[in-house]
Amino acid sequence: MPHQRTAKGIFASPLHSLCLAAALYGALASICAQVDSASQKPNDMPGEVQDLAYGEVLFDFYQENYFDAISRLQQAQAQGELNYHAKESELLLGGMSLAYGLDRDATQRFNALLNETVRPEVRDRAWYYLGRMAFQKGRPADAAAALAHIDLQDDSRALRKQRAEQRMLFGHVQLAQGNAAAAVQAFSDWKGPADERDYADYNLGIAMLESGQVDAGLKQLDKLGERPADNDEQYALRDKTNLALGYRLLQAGKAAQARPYFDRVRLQGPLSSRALLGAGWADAEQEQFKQALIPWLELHGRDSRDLATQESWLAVPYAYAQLGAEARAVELYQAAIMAFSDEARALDQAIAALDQGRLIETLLTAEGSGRSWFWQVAQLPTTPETRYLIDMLAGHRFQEAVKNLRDLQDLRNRLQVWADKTETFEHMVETRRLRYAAAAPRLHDDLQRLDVDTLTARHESLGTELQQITANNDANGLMTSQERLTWAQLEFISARLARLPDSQQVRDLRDKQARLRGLLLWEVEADYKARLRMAKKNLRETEAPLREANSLAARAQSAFATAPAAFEGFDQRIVEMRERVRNSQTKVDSTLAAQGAWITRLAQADLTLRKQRVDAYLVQARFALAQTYDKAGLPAGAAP
Amino acid sequence: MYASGCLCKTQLSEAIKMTTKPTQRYRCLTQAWRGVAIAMLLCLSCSVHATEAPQSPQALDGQIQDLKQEVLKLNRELFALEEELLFPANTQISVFLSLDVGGTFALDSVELKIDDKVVTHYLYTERELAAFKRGGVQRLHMGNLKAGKHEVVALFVGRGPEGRDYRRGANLVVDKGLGPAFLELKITDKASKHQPEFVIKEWE
Repeated sequence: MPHQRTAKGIFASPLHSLCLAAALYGALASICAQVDSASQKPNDMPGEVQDLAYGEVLFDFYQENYFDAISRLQQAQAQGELNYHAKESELLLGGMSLAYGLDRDATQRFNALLNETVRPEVRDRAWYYLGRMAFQKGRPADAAAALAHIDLQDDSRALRKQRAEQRMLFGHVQLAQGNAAAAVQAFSDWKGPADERDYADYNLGIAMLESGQVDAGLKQLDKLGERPADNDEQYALRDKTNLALGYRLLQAGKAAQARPYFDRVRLQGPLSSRALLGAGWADAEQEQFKQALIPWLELHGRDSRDLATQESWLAVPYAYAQLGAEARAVELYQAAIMAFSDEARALDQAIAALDQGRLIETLLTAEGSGRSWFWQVAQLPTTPETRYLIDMLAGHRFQEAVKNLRDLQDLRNRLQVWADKTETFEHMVETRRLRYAAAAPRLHDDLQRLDVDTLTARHESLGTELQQITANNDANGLMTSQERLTWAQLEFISARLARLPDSQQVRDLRDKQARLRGLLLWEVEADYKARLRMAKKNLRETEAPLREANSLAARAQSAFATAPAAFEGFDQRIVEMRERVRNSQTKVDSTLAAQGAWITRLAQADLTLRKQRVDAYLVQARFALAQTYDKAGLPAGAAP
Repeated sequence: MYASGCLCKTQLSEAIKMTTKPTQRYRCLTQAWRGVAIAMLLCLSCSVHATEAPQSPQALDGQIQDLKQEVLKLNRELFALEEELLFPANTQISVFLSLDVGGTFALDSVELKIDDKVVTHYLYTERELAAFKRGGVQRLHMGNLKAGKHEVVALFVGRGPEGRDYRRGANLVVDKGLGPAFLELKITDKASKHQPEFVIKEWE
């Protein structure tokens, strides 16, 4: 039998899928909720998330996206992103592995935790999970051994919630080992959240019955069965309790005592059909067939797939026959034969649909994930392949098999996404390489031309020059280019005039040149401070752009040098990854087919059993019809 | 037997499944009917054995566990490759969202702009909001940004106190260095029990 991965659904009996998902969620949620024992935070409140990566994991985990959560957590561990949540992350990883169906990995992780120095509550948690897994695998002795490491008597506030589930498991383990008396003790002593109190009480009642304390057990269950309910969950538990009591008493031959318990079960709840059937039988046992008809007729028109309804098709005419209304009984037996025949045909069609692989197709194409998927399945239109699906999904083994099928489908989808992406990566790398090859020569030339060093040297030289001008008060050093030209022309004229023979005209010209020279010097000297200020300002203003230019040039050089890193070295990795993706795809496809075949076999077994049961009912109906004809003295086949 | 076996919280609905045993309940029928029913039951038990699956489900389960581990490992390596290719560390920016509010604000959507360009617009589901409330942190955006100053603006839309429509923004100028940048958009009502607070925090 495949492993169970429920957190609390630890018995081999069938579970409703939604409750199963809720259980997984609830139990695992407490893993990360029990982080901060030192601060005495309530256990159902998360500790403050101090690593972003851990918060990301929780975001996926709380949405039951276990694959993503596990993947992200392992990545965060590998990259050292968990500075504050390292220890509890390992516990969370173990719990999530369990939820994702990775029992072996979960076991290894919990065992590894037990070999490390961890806080007592983390150790207890690990032992609890190991115990629960052992129990799920049908090894109650191992479960008991694991639970023995936990001090169940330690009831400090921070541990209260986990102790409650540990004690609950302890009680179940005792019962499974045949220690009903110890189980009674465990459930009697159980302390925990109020919303789980009823379950402990129910289990106590059952344990009492198992230990031979029949009266006490019935009394315990009776009390629970009439306890006021506030919500659907409590109502469901009341129904379950009363139904159990009713059938227990009915089997003990105490029909009169059983009847009120069936009446306590809600008429619209999921157990109502069974309660109606039981109520009718309680009346019939007391030979009150007229009374028995009331619940049985209510049941008679209900869902034809329901086994209780199918039984009522026989029970109602049986009651009429007992009341002497043979004609009505004959009529109803004939209707029952037709109904059973229809049901047998529907089952044949469902089995044929299985053979054609339509059930697996439906299971794989129904949208949604986690709990929402089960809702989607419940809403599917009724076809031969979906007609019995919900009933089959209520069975634990079938449900686990379907989960694995859906997980494999999820793996297949993920691998296909990666197959497409890796192809894109290849193109991307190739495009980058081509683009680099095309642009590299031009970029190289541009970078060569980008002579920022010369500009920097020029800036430094100008700075030095200005310092010298300032130190020497050299106003000429700050002449404009026009003034320098004029100065040069005046010097040239002066030299020419010096070479000319002396004459009045030459003297006049020399005076004129000297005046012009003096005027120029005067202007430069007079303007020196303003020019010096302006020169310094201009030099300062060039500093920032020059720095920016240097930085840009350095980045451009760096980008040019590192550009090949955007494509070099990736080719081989991408090729390897693509190959691994392809290999995994092949494995997933074959495993998916095998799992589909396994589910088909499970479904075939279930439907075949149903078919045989319906055939048995059909034989009974025909036999009863013949007997009724006989009793009423009617010829077989006559109209009533 | 209906009253056998203990019950966990999650097992409650096991009773939905019918485990009717026709022969037990038809004890009131005639002896001849009983004979037929018993014969049918014997027939059923033979058939059940005949339809048992030949392949070991344990082996298949082990195979599935191996495969899940294999794909998990591959998935991690592929994510690392993708990150290196698409979001190199020197340009990478990641923006996260966390929510720590009571009844003061119900988030509907977030719009994220970087340098006046919308990079993400996200609508939230009930499941996501529930995950936030339990400490989950969402990676809202992952992208590339050049070194230097950039303005990040987040617009939060939802329902505020008393169910009124509520739109609030938060902004931050980030000086992006050469390493990856991590920002967290935080919605909290820790400071005030009556008003939510919207902040952008830069992680070192």
